[in-house]
Amino acid sequence: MRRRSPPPTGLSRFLAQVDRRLRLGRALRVLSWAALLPAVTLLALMLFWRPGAAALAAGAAAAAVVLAALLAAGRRDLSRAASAADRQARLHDLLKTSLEVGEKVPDSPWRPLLERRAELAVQSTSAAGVVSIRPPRLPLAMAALLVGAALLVALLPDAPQDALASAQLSDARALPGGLLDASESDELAATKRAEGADEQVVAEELEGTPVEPNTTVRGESSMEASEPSSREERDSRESRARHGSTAARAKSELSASETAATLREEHRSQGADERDGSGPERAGDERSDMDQRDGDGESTDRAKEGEEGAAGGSPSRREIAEQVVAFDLPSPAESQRKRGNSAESALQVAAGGRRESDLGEARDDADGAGAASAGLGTAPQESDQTPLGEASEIAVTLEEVLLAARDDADATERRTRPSRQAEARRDVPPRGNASAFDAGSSELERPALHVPYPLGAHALVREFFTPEPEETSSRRSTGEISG
Amino acid sequence: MIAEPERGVAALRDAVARVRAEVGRVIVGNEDILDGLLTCLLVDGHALLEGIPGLGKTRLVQTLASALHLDFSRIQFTPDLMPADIVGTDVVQEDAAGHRSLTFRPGPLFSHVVLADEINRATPKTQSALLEAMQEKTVSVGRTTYPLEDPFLVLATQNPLEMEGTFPLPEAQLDRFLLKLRVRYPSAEELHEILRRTTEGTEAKVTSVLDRQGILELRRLVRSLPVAHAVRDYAVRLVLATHPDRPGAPSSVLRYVRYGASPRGAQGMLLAAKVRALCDDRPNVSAEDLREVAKPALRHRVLLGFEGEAEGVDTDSILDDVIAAVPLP
Repeated sequence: MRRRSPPPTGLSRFLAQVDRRLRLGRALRVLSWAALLPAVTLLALMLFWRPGAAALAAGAAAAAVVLAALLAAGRRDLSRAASAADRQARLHDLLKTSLEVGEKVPDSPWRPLLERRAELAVQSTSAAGVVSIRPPRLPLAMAALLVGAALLVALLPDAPQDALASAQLSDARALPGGLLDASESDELAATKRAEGADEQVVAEELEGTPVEPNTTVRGESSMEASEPSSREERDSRESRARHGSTAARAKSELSASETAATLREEHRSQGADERDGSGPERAGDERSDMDQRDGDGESTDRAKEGEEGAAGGSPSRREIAEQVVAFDLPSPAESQRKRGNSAESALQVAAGGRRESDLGEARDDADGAGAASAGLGTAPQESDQTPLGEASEIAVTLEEVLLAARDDADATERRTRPSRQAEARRDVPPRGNASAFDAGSSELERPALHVPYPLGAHALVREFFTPEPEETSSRRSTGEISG
Repeated sequence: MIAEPERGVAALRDAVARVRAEVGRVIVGNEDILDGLLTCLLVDGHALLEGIPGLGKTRLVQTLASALHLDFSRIQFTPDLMPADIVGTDVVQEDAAGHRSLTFRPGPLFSHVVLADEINRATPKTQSALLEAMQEKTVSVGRTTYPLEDPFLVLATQNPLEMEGTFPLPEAQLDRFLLKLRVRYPSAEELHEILRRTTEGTEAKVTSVLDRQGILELRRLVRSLPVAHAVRDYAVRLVLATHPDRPGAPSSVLRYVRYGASPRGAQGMLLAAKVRALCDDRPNVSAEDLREVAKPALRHRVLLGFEGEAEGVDTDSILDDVIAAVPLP
């Protein structure tokens, strides 16, 4: 029998050292990967706290860099770590086996070979060389990058927020009364400037509010020029700007109503002038204008509008139409009715106690084709109570009203026309169990169109089979459900 | 050889190298499959080769048998094959004196290396006739049990595609195989070499380089190799991690697996790891060896549940999850 000899102390000491370093290395690996979690949390908190475009961009850039680093270095790092782990595990297993065989099966024929191999392994390397306790660099680098991104987000200036707020403000200014978009506002401002109006007047036209001196209209206002000192201040400024735009809108509507009243007054006074004696000339001018209208159509109208606007500064027909639209947006049926009624009422006004023949002429005027006849002599006789100027005024007013009514109808139709999506949705047949109840009951079909299938079906079934609370209570009270 | 493990390890490595070289004269590629077959030969196990037709499964087994100085028989499994056709039967024999007696006529199973070609084409009855032979290395005919001579190695092939007219192997049968090896399609270079060898000139002849006695000695050497407790514990944890009712099982196991690997799987894994360590000139089994042999040793022992079957989950992917989930010793 072979004498049982203790295992070499150097080997066991080495194994203990390897064990210790292995445990330490594993703990460091876990810790380094765990460091990613607070870094990601910190970045997410920063992005939540400063949800600006630049902050989001910084976060996205950090995420992209992290991803790129993972893709680039991850595979190499992982394969290197895997091979190192295999090497360490192999050495560890050799030492363990050698020690175990030495302790438990000392007579094993494998013991000399195992001990010799283990000693060779110990001699050829050291525990520090084989078992690395250096934590992996990749997760630490990623964590540092994420923390850096979070700090960047925290230290970013507030410019993006101000730019956003100023964009909102300029948009709000560019839409006085909700009627004009930005391009139209610019167009209006250019027209006013071409008319020679100063910037303050232009700004008033655009916003409906007087502008403080030393401030520009579309550029940086005094409110935006100063840096907001805090988030609350920024919010309050935005709120004030919103209130300002609402006030401007109200003011704009008020000025529009005033303009419309002025226009009506102007028309009335023009008619009075014509009645006073300047009628025939005026009627001749109007007749030629109307001839032009008949021949050239809408483009001529627009050219005329421009001329009128540039010459007198009085509100153009388009502005009137816009104001009419702003005041009253009737439904399509109402618009249709209004269109007919307005023509009829215009005719009634034009008749004004006249004869039937005059009424027919006025109707011709309303149709546009007979507008010229009013000035060519087919019309009113000397004995007629209605002067020629009044007839032309009636014709002009009638056409104004018709045009305004047409614009009303178009605007209303545009506003009330369903979108393509809505039309497509309307074409989709009801889903789920709604088809079982589609005998004309739109109350049942409607939820099935917008609720996903199972939920919609569930809701329908529940609605169908759940007794009404009043019914249940009444039954209980009457004793129908006794047990 | 046991007395001198160092020489035994060298002899094993030399024998394996010679067999590899000899088989390599005919077979191109498939080194891992050949290593698996040699592992089964050295640890007294059986191998199931799975692959589409034409990949050289039968050819590989025939060539290996030629490189070993052993008896070889081939059984082509068909639906009408009967158990008596493979285990043998008693026949009436008349001697010179006119006396008639029943004499056992051994079937093709009485060989050292048995190639069970397309094993899943035989009926379960015939397949079951192999169970006793594979596990106990005996054949019972009537009231007589006949021992099979060592080494007894069943190398079966099956085609995973043509499932019509086949009888999938029952779990008990599958569990008898030490390794399930998947024969892969050759690469372009390997295909070039195959074409060159098989379409030009004459085929190489294989000579026997390892005899029966040498195989048995190597088997004893492999079994004597010590394994550290930590490594054995790793094997146990790997096998237990394939069980869905065990705590710590990966999510894929919990979701897709109905039954995990059997203790026979742990035995096969440890034995195969021993062969791998010795072929790598190491007198100790490492956890790395167990990881390498885990898939061929366990993939046919993990039984998928309904969800796994329905979704066509591969057991290899589940075993990958298991290997990743079980920490090293």
